[in-house]
Amino acid sequence: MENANQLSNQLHITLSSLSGYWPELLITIGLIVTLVVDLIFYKKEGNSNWWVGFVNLLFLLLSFVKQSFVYTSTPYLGEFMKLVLLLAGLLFVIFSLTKTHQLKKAGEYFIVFNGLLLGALLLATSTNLLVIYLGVELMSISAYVLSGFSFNKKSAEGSLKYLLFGAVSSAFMLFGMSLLYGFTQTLDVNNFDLLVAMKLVGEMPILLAVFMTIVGFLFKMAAAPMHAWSPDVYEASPTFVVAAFSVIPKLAIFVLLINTVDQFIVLPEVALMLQVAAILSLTIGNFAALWQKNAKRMLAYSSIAHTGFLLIALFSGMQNFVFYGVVYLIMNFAVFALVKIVENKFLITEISQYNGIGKQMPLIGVLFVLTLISLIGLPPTAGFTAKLLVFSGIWVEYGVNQNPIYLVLFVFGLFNTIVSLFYYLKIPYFMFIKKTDIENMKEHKSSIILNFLVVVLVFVLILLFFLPNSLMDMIYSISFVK
Amino acid sequence: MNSSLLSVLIFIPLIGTLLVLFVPSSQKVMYKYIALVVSLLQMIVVSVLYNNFDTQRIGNNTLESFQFVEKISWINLQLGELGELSIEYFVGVDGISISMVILSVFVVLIGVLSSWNVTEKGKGYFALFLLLNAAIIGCFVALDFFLFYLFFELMLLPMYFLIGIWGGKRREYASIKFFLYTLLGSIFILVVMIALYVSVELPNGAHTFNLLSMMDSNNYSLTSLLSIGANHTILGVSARNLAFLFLFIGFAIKIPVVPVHTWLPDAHVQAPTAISVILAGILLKIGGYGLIRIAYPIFPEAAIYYAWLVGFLGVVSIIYGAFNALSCTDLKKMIAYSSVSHMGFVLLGLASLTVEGVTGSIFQMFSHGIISSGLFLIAGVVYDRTGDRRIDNYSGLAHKMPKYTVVVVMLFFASLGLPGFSGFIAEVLVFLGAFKSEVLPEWMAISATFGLLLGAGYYLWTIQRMFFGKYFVRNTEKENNMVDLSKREFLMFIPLVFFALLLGVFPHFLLDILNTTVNSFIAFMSTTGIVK
Repeated sequence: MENANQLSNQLHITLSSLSGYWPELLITIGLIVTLVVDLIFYKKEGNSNWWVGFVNLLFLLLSFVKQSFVYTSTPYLGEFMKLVLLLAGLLFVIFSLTKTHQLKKAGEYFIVFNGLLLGALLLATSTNLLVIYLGVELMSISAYVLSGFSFNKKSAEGSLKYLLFGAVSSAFMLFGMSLLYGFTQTLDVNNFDLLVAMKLVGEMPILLAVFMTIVGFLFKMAAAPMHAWSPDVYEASPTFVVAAFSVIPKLAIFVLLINTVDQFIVLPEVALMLQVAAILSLTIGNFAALWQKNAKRMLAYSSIAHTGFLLIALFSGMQNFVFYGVVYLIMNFAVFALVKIVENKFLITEISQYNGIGKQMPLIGVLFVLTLISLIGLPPTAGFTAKLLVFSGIWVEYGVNQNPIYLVLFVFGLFNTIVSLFYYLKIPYFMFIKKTDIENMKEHKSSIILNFLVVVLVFVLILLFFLPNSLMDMIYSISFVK
Repeated sequence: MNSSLLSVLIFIPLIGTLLVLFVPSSQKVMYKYIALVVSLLQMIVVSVLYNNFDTQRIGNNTLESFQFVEKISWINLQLGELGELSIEYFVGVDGISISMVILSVFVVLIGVLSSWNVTEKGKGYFALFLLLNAAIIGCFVALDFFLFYLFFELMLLPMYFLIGIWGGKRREYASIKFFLYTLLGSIFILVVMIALYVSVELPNGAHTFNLLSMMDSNNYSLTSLLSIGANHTILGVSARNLAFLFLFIGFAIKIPVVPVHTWLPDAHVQAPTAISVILAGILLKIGGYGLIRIAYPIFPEAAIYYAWLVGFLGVVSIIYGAFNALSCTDLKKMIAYSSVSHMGFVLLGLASLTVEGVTGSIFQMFSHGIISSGLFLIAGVVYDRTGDRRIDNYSGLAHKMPKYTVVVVMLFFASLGLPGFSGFIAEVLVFLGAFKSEVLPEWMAISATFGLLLGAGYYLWTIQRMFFGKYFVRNTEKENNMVDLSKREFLMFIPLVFFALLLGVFPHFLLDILNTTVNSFIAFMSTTGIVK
């Protein structure tokens, strides 16, 4: 009797706390329904894609709307970031549904993506090591599968590479987590008492455990020196998948880092480790991007550099970080959509083949230029505002604690801009300036919806420069207290 | 007086840009007319500005004495630890900026006229041209650092494409070099901008980009890095001195000063004529203007401390530029190097920190703006006809193109500083200032005079080689093209020569505008700068 009572009590608690997980639940339901719909329409090749995507979109939208109710009160960071992640998910699904995308196995495509999103959403709010691991793995395994969705040799290779690297890094992370559990006797990150544990086992083992855990995180967000997988994977994966890869797992892991790092930061080495990773990512990403000839590969390195920048933003104040994160999302979706538009129309991704596209598609050319300016961080785009806020934050931090590492972050961050200018400008250079002798012959139909979406995204980028308040006020109503 | 005139000046070209974008490609002719109408409207607005400008009001560092001020709150962000960040749409002019605005509108008009024959991708060309136009005006009237920076950066991209798409053979190299150099400079400026706005705290707790607030030492919170009393150091160098140096580097790239000048000859040689005109006539001035408006009044004590450096680099630019010009075989490159040399005078005059010197340096900017525009048009004339600019491929042009020769001789003489032309007044003032200056050693002024001598050398030598002697053109195929100036070309040169003469004979037109502002500028520099 006693036991049954306890059980029902527990069940009650579990059920009542489920209300916070409506978005996740909706996505899970969406996943199942998508599966069923896919089974029903399995044989009808043409329609199936559309139905599956539509059902998926519907549930995502529901989930997004549901999540936006957090704004009835003060949302927590995790709740806000869930909203952002869902937005990214929505963009991804809408992009994928435009006619530019020749979907093969649409059912699996959307189902696996739902898995990825679910993992990301879990990460945004979890503080329990087991759930964290569950989220990371759910996200990663889905990502391994998704990266193979071009169904060619290259794609298979990228997918396998991703899996192998990912598995090793997961092992590291898991090992670190298990050590942490052993030292602190708890799975709840918020209850870690690393200082007490340090007295028990000494500093070295604790550091090792924390380092291993964070190395796993850094791998998943493609920060240098754990970045080697990302260019190959980005180049091989379908373009929209890359757009999702460059945003969703990254932001999710960043939120996780913010949620957990408060506990780890008692060790000054942890902050230093993240700062070094920031500088390395920034420098390696930017310099390696200089030599790239493939647009997607170049953008992969650019996204490594941006990871470095997001890491710097972590130290400039949470609000600045969130602002940068949101702007980064918009920029990346815009730029990959543009790459996709060109890829779709002319079947090219090599930058040197962008010859004369500015003349043939002036609108796309202008949008490209604006998005790249934003990625560089020049006015009048939100990319500039975001960078300005981050650098101001870093400067204030430097003024407060006079730690020279902040000055180093500041200088590296700023002067990497010049390096990045060089490779980002390659695209407009080939589009507009380079004299074209080869006409791009193969022309395919382009999707009006996709073009329209990109126009909207770019418009938002410019709008956020002139009216940053619209986003900043939302961010400032977030509660960062846990 | 209706005070939204400055905004009108900025937004007319922006509206023009939109118009150009929406006019269908079948109406190709319309583009240049839109650009022309925009420029003419701007001329009208500027003449209204000029007529209503009160030369007795100071400007410089006090809000009340600026004219045609518009101050609208633009972005107000509530930032956590930092407090409030406020960015304003804040424009206004004083004697220094209005002279630059007048120059810009005038030179842009000449630029439109000289791009009359651009037909290839006309839509893009004139859209970018008008965008550039707006950014230039914005730069000269902005009194908020953020706004200034916005316009400053906004100039880069149109320039990049204008050189990159419509330029000469090596345009790709030149345009990226231009972009990288200028971006490097603007990053230096950005660093200081961030440091300044974090340091400046108004009594109500807001952090502002307002340039005038930045000039007031009372607005710096004591603990902040750039506060005057606190003497903070970064890596052993005084933080304020370092900030001044950063700003100086940023603007020096734009001027350009030796040794960061190397982008200029490339950009000029590759740029289409009209863009060269804008580049030499206006964009270079933004460097000098930035020093006067931003770097000097915000860091007066550092400006005095580094006066020798500024002056020294000025002298180096004067002489090095002149020697290079002497050795150039490409006419346009020679003119580009002469620009480097002449902009050196701007630095020298500024570094002297005397009323004469600073007046002279602004006068030099104005005069160089007019004369160098003319010089690049001159280079454009021969290039249009034969596609060849090598000096030794021509000789005896005076026989065939008498009008052209007259114009060239007049502008060359104006540029080398013959009395009666504006260049002379400017250089005399600069030398007066440099000799009188308490912060510059005398040898600087003395060695700068050497630059005048070289200037006379390369100009006279060029005239002699190209225009006198037996008539000869290397490119015989296109010899038929060697006709004298057309009416349109002549029309462009007349006002340039006229203004160069006018300011040489009646310099008070410009001096009256500058006088009050420059006097107060020097007074401000010496009262705030001496405090150590």
